[in-house]
This record gives sequence, structure tokens and C-alpha cells, in this order.
Amino acid sequence: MLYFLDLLGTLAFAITGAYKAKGAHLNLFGVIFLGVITSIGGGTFRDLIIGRMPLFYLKDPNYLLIAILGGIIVYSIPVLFKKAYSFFRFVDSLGLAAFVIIGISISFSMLFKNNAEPTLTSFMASVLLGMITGVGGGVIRDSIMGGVPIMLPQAFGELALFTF
Amino acid sequence: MFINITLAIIISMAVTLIFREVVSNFGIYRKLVKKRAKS
Repeated sequence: MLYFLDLLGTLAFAITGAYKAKGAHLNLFGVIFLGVITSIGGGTFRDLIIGRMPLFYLKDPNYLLIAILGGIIVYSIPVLFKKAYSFFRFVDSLGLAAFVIIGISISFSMLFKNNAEPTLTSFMASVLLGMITGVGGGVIRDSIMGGVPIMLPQAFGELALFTF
Repeated sequence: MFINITLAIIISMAVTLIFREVVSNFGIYRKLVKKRAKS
């Protein structure tokens, strides 16, 4: 179930990244690249910060394959995603929530599993790393595309994730 | 960290959806309210 949600989130993030790249009239490589960066960027950030090696998509290539597949689908049939934008926004929300909770869980188990008593600092650090997992990919995508990251002007979703 | 991670994910999804679609200015709820106000 968790794995499925994680893959669903990866696909949703890949679709949002690739869709943005397609809107900027990039070629197939650019669309796939943006899709992959968006979907695995946040997790890579987290893994690098907490020193979790090998990176999650090298251990399990399904994440990478799903992201590439999402990019190819968006490049081939962008009309589908234009019509069903609300649906993909919905899937993106679900994926974001799953990503964040999984990110928090992984960070906590990696960093503080040997601590006898969890402290407020360890909770805060885990939540921050979870938030980075969720929004990192989108921030990298928007930085590459040259826009203000979408989480900054409309941060309600991310705020919800942080406060949760 | 979580007692039940599946429950945590479900609650997180609900909170995210509420904030993104209802509270945010860019959500579906505000768009529908604007449409109704125009008509």
C-alpha cells in the first residue's frame, strides 16, 4: 500500500513536471528530464542530507522508470492532461501527502533510531526533512524553468504538511 | 515515529486537500464560488 502510494506520488510529480516542460515547448529529452527531476528531486535532497546511500531510485529503479514513463506519456498525449487537470491536481495532492509522511518516517528512523527518548528537535528535524521531500522536486523544477517556485506564493498545502 | 503510518498518510492527504482546494485562492472551491457569484 505504502509502496503503491509512493509510486503514485512519483508518477503524479513526474506528470506535473513534464506538463510544465511541455508547456514551455521543450523537446522529449527536456520533458522527461523535468519530469524525473520533479519526481525524484525531493527524495534525493533528503537522502543526501541524512546520508542514506544508495539513493532510493538506485536501490529500486521502479521510481526512475515510472518517472520516465510519466514524461513520455505527457509528451505523447498532452491533451489528456489539459482536459483532466483537476484530476491530476488531486493525484498530485495525494502524492505530496504520501511523500511527506514517508519522508518524515525515513528521516526519523535514519537519524534518531538509536535515541532512547525522541525530543522536540528530532521531531522538528524529521518534519522539516519530510517537507523537503515533498516540495524539493517542485522547487528544483521551478528553479530550472525560471519561475518563482509555486510553493512560495501559494504555500497553503505545504503549510498544512508542515503543521501536520 | 508514527503509530500507524497508513492513518498518518490518510490524515495528511485530507489536510492537504482541504488546504490546497478549499483554503487556497487557487483551489477548486474558490473557483466555483467565483463562478456562482458571476452568474
